[in-house]
Amino acid sequence: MTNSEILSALRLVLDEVSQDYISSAEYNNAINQAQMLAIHRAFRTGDFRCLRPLVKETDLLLSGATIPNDDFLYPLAAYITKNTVPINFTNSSKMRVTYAEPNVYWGYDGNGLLILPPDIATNQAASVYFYTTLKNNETDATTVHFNTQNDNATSNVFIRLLYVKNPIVVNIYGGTNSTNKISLPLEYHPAIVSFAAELLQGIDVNEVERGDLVFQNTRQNIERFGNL
Amino acid sequence: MTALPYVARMRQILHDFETPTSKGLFWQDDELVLCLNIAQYSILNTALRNGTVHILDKLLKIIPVNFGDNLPVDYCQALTAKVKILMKNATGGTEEHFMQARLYEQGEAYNYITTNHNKLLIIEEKVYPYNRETQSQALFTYIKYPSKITLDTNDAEFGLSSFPEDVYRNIITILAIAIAGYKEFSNSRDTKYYKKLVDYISSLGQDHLPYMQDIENVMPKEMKPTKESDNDK
Repeated sequence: MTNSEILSALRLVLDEVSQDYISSAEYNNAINQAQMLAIHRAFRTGDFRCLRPLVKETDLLLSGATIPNDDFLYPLAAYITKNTVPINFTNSSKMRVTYAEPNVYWGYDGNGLLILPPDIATNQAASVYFYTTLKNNETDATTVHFNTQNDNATSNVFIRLLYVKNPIVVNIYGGTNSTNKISLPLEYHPAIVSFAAELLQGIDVNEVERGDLVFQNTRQNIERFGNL
Repeated sequence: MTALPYVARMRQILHDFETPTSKGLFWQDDELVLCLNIAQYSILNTALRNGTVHILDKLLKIIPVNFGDNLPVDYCQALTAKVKILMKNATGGTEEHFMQARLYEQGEAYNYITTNHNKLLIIEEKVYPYNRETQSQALFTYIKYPSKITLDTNDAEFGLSSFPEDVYRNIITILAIAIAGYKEFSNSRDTKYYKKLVDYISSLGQDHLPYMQDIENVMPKEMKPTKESDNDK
């Protein structure tokens, strides 16, 4: 749906066709909030059809490297390879690497590399790799941390990371430019519109207007503001 | 897809047409068409989520893809894939065959990059067919997006039907009517406006209240004006 169609749909279900109660900033705010909610819900429920346009892949050669453009939202999957740059996508020497929360990751002595007891049959030690992402401040870029040495400490490893990026901030008054559109697939636009409409209706109906009459001849109890 | 018969059906069910005693329309044509489009995308999503893909038969599309190709522009959901393999024939030459492959998408695909079976991986917006561990080509079956429902006869998608007729008529149209109904329903927001209006009109005097439209249906019970005859009792 185009931006104008989304705006028309919002105005239709809110019955805002003949009046302008809701400002343009509130429309944009609600759409972006609804889009983020749809993304969080899709990630939580494993609905990757919804997230497909937001999935990005990046190669990182150094632990602590920043993700380009700082648009990281959720980690999806990753693998590491012992080969030198450029990482060969079809190379068979790649190993799975598991995401760990930062506090778990830094808790390991090996910083992302766990050597398990050797297998009795093969007498080879299995290694489990971990990686983590870190964002110190809201304005900082997200960094990815992993162990850059393989289990024998003989060669460097590199990581290829698949992640969900942040969506583009929608400006429904910004015309048909693709940089303003909802990032999620078309079939999720009705859900976003309906939730944005619910938010806008809530702003309107549930707002606390100072001095407005709650019931006839009854003012709001301002002292409850202190929660005593 | 042409919206004309479905807009007419919506108006019929919504009782939104002009008569000698009732002039003007409540819903514009554009609004009803918008509702039809929202309804079809919503139903598409529901069908894919619930696995009721039999109503999406007209949206199936099969295309040949090479390793690393971008997903098609109209791509919505992958269904199946067959990868190309070369087999020896009786005369000693080779023949192309297509064998069923497994589909893995995004994060799941990372697990199966090096496994030894036919597969098609979808990572980011690209497809990677493998004949076992070898890069290959494939026949890719997917569900595309439905054509836009429009009243514009010059639109390229005007005559393109994406669903069976009964789905348009009995599912999409009925959901579109429900969406269009939000414009008409009296909700808590309307109640708030009426409350403000009642406050204002009350300041003018009780006599004005009965003239408000729909006052019996919309106003909360405690806010309804007291009739003078009730006070007398």
